[in-house]
Amino acid sequence: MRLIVVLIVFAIASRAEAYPQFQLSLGADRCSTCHLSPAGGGLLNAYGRDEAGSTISRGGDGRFAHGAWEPPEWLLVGADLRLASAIKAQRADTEVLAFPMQADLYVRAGGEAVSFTLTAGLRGGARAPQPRLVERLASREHYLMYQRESGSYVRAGRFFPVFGIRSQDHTAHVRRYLGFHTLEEPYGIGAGWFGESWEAHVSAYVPRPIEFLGAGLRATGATVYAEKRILDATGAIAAQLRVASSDTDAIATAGIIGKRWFPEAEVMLLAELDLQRQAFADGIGPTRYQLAAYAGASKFVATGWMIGAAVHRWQPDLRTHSAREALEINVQYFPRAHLELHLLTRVGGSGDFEDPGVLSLLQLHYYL
Amino acid sequence: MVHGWIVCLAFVLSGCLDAEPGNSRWSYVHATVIRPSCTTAGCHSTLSAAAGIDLSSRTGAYTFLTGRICGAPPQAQDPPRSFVVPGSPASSQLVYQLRGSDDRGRPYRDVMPPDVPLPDVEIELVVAWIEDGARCD
Repeated sequence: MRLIVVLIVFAIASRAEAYPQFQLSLGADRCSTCHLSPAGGGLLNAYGRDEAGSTISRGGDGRFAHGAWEPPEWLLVGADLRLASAIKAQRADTEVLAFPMQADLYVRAGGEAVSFTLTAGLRGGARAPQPRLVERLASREHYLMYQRESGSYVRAGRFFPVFGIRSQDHTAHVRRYLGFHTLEEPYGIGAGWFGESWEAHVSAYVPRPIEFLGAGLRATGATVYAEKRILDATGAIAAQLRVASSDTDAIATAGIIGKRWFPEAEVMLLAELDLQRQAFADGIGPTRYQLAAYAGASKFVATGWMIGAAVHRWQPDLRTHSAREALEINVQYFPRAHLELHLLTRVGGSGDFEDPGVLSLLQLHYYL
Repeated sequence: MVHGWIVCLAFVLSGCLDAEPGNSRWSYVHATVIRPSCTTAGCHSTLSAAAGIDLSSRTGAYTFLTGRICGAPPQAQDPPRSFVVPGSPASSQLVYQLRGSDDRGRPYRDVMPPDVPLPDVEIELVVAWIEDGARCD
């Protein structure tokens, strides 16, 4: 049986992370209240699994394997499986797609203080031809972590630095265009500290040592992220900085993030704005100033139901009208613990939306 | 640099200006258009090489698109490549794919990138590079 589960898991593909909408709105003041990773995403802790079966969904047992088997104390395991179908219309093309979106196994071994975390699975893609099974194996996270009771931590290995709103959607422009897209995790060290109403994280990273371990620019850099919760923990503001250099450019990024939960209206607002300077090596072109932005609102309309809208913007060169924009509507349904249905409809275009593309994507998400 | 950030903020607050998008050197086109838009994990990166195409390196992408070796003078025996015909954007398949239409304005399938169209400014940068002879500079 276990072998079958493993085979099913390795038959599918890709990635996803946390839902930042659940921070503040569901009593979790930070990502690590529910997740084992300080940045959120991946394995849930016992509290997170309990919430998954109570406040987030319409019931069920959120424990691993629905409580059928309890792993030993030193071991935590889980999995994320996503299947998707999509209709996409862009210019003359209309595509209908059905594809495995994510198949990741999570393993965390160790004690409360020292642990090793591994996320491994099969990367996938929406379109044929797909690579052979063995070529699709990928591990986007593997790191060793030392953590104190206060939550403060130091870790080393492969992971994304704590940066941005950390949406589960890797195509969000603040992720897609700022170097946080699929399999763009660098290798590095990170540390974080937590106070009563604040948290701060620093990371330093180097490029992946082998090109085929991932994608994206291979850069060396550092990030700082500091968040302060305000308004009786119904709001938070954060500031972030990043510097990085690669063989073709050097970037400096400064950003702000705002989060606000309105309990009476049951509406969660999330926003991020980043400005970035990109200077090219060897004088191949003029220095560019760039902007990435996200603003979204989510409403919990009933237990297990969340609807939302968001706008995205990416301007790779502020001197021109070059821009990519998107407007999206999300409907998410959590019928039981471990299950999610997510319908995303996004209209995206460049400039003034003269010729937008439309994407409607339905995801079935199961986590173990 | 501080001055640059002030200019940057001024752009944000006042709206954007029409300006030259940069230059039509291949190094710039690759760094600002090809690599960020075409070489993500599921696409034409070394990792995936969708359809057998890896555009992640400047020289490799150049060779694939033009059929020429970067740094070597054009040879009589260079294989003809319809992706990029130096000096002729109207004959270059890459331009059709980026615009979603051919040189007669007829819809062209297999639009790239498949997720979101490139902004016109970036397509024009590619067109300018081809018009200028598609050199590997």
